[in-house]
Amino acid sequence: MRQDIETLAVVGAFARIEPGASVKVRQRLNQIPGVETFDLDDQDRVGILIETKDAAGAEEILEGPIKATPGVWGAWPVSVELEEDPDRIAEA
Amino acid sequence: MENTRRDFMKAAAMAAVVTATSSQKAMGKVFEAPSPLKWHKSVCRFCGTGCGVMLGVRDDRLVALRGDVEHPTTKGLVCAKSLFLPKIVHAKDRLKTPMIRKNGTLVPATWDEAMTLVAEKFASAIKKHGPDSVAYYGSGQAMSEESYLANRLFKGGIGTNNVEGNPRLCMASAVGGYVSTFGKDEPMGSYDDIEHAKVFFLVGSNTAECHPVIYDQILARKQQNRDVLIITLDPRKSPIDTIADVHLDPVPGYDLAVLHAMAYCMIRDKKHDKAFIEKNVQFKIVKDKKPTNVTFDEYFEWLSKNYTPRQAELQTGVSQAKIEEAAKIFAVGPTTSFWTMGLNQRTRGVWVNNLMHNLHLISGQIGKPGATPFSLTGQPNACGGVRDTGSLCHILPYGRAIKKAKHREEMEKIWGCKPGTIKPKPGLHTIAMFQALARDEVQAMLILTTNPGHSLPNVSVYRDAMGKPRPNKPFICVIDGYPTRTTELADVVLPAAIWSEKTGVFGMSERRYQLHPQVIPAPAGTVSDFDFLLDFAGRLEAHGVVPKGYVSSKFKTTDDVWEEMMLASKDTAYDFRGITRERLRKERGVRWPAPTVGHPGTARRFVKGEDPCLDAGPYADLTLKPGETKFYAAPNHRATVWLRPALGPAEPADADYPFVLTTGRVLEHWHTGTMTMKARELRRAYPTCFVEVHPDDAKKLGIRDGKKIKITSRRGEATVKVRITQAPQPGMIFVPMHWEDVPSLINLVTIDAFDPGSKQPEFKMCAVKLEKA
Ligand code: SF4
Repeated sequence: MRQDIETLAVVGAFARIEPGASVKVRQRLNQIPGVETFDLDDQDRVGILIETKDAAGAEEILEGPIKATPGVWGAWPVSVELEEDPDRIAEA
Repeated sequence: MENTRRDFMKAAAMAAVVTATSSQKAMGKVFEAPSPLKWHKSVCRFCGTGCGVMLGVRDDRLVALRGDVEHPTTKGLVCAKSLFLPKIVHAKDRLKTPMIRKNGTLVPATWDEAMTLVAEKFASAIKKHGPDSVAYYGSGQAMSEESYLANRLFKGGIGTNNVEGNPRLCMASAVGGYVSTFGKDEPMGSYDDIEHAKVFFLVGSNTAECHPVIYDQILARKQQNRDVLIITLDPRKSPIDTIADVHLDPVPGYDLAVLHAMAYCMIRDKKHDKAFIEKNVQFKIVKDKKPTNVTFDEYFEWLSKNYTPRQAELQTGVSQAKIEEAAKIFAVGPTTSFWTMGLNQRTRGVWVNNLMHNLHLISGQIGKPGATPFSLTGQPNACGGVRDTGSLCHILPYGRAIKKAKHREEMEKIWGCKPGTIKPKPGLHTIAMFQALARDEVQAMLILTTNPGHSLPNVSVYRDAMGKPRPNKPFICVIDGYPTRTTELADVVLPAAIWSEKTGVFGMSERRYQLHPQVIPAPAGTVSDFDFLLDFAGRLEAHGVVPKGYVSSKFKTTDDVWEEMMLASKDTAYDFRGITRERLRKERGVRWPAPTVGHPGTARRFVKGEDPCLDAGPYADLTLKPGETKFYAAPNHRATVWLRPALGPAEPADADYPFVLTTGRVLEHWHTGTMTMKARELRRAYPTCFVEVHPDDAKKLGIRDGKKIKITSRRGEATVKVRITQAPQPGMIFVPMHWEDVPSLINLVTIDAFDPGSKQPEFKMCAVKLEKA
């Protein structure tokens, strides 16, 4: 891959969390590099943004540290957008 | 990279989450900006959940994907697999050039060279050995129009019923269960039932990893209503057990007695629905190979004699207390049961499906909001594409059977073939078809969008059948989007356009037919399976082995095929004449039956006021009151409670092979990994294959986490890394099916014994021994 081209993947997701544990879980999630959380209407869910270099990192974070965070019952992505397709860059 | 672009992407992602979760709170933080992408509504390419997706296209490339918030059942949710679809579509190893095997090696060829050879080989086999010397092996991943067309070509054009597909490996026992209990295939309920259920019975289904979006809806239901209870039944603890209120963990292969014992408890405690049973249910046992009627009292007597909780505990290892508890919860309801391969991939697959239906029928947990038995599917189009279009060796489109003369006549008329063209004898089912290939009795086989060189059980036998050089070796043509363990065995490989590069219909688990449109151009050199089939049929017509104009004068696009399919559904329980192409383009799919364009689709079949088949047509009954159930497709209009003996697997563990191997999936990968292994990130989640071993067994064998072990069965061996975990019970191991390379290819070890009714192989159980590698 050419190193001079910067790439970006942003995944929007949400997690279902243990009832009543919202504040603690958000604190824990916010400590994961590349992860930002935001409130949703429903106390039992929290919105998540994952920002990484490519879809690789995002999926790894979602399936790894996010799902492993105590109080997280499950996490689901809802969107992915790639600023540059790494394969295309590799072909360039 | 400019900040504005990054900010825009984050805002767009946030907006997608906010919309998918119907949250107003975060709306203020989301700014509106015009998207530089063109967005198209479509359907996910992977599992039978059938999630609605929006595809973002830039410069003729897929660069983004979002859950479709307007989708009525999946409501904007997707899972990790689908996020990689843009990447998977543009994978570098896509096949783009036809190849022909010359002197043992596949070499590039033109489309015309390859097609000429394919047509010649099929025509010469048919002329020399008759129509039954050729065969078609299709896929629950082909579009409905493609499967329908292939079925039409082989059964009505060539005149052979040797038409099969990979749903034989995943769904055939569910089909057998529905047909033998209710008279017709496919679930009567829908995903709407999740919102009404108070009890979920999840059986042989790792819903969290294999159907994550359904799992989210179940979790949501439990979060909203603390009275919602979950019962799981699985010998292996999967992630769903973290939310289970009762976990039933029978010895692998011995769960039938648990289900019978639950039925026993419900009747003993007078929790059965007497009125529903008297009106809608009959009881049968097979005696001297013939189904024989018995009474409700005889059924209970039979259960009391053989399947009390105490007896079930002795047979299955599940405690009486847990069985009693599960029965009590189930009967309260409303209860929705979901199951998948844990029940279907068994030599007793049809029977265990029957027993799931038994529980719903005797408790009356059926035909009401939240109360339904429901088999989930693993492929995007096993239901709509293969089951509904009748693309298996014993069936014809829309609930018709090969064996019934009336059904053959109806299809001959619709297909425009001479009376008597469709043979009355079913063709070869999947395992029999590949065995006939091994004996060189099938001389030419077309394999479309599937990978039997990896996915068949006891696969080395069938790999040899497809690829081992020998005099008179059968000719194999494979059309696929990617190189696979099957393309490497083929005589001709044709490069296929896939999913978003072509337009067609997928029919998912809940009877919803959805259109996925072409949104990007197909890569140069590829054609869709549909265009290939048109070309192939035209050439067979020219060779004189298919009547002139049988296909070539009828269809130009998949829209034309859809017109005929709608017509073929008339006067059947599937009637979808109202699901027009125009409607599919506009709407997020429609659930059949939907006989008129104004009909909204059917959430609940067999229920007056919901199922339009009860209002007009051959099944109409104007005497029923709204909400009343009538199993109109079943003999005597009664569903059957079957008295099935609780027999075990074909190959239980024994002194020589003391462990039970079960196979399955992990979240990140799908089936033979042809697509998901293309995404580096998905590959990285599980870089190598593994085997789950219980700590007690690991200790006894002296094996350590991360070390390799050899798994040997009576058929073959695999060597994979050990993962020590409490998930499997002692004496059981679990290996995912996705890895294709020897020594990780687990289907070298699995057994090809199959259910005598559904002919579905027993991937879920065989006996193995373990040794340090
Ligand atoms: S749950 Fe199935 S259909 Fe839905 S996004 Fe995941 S793989 Fe696709």
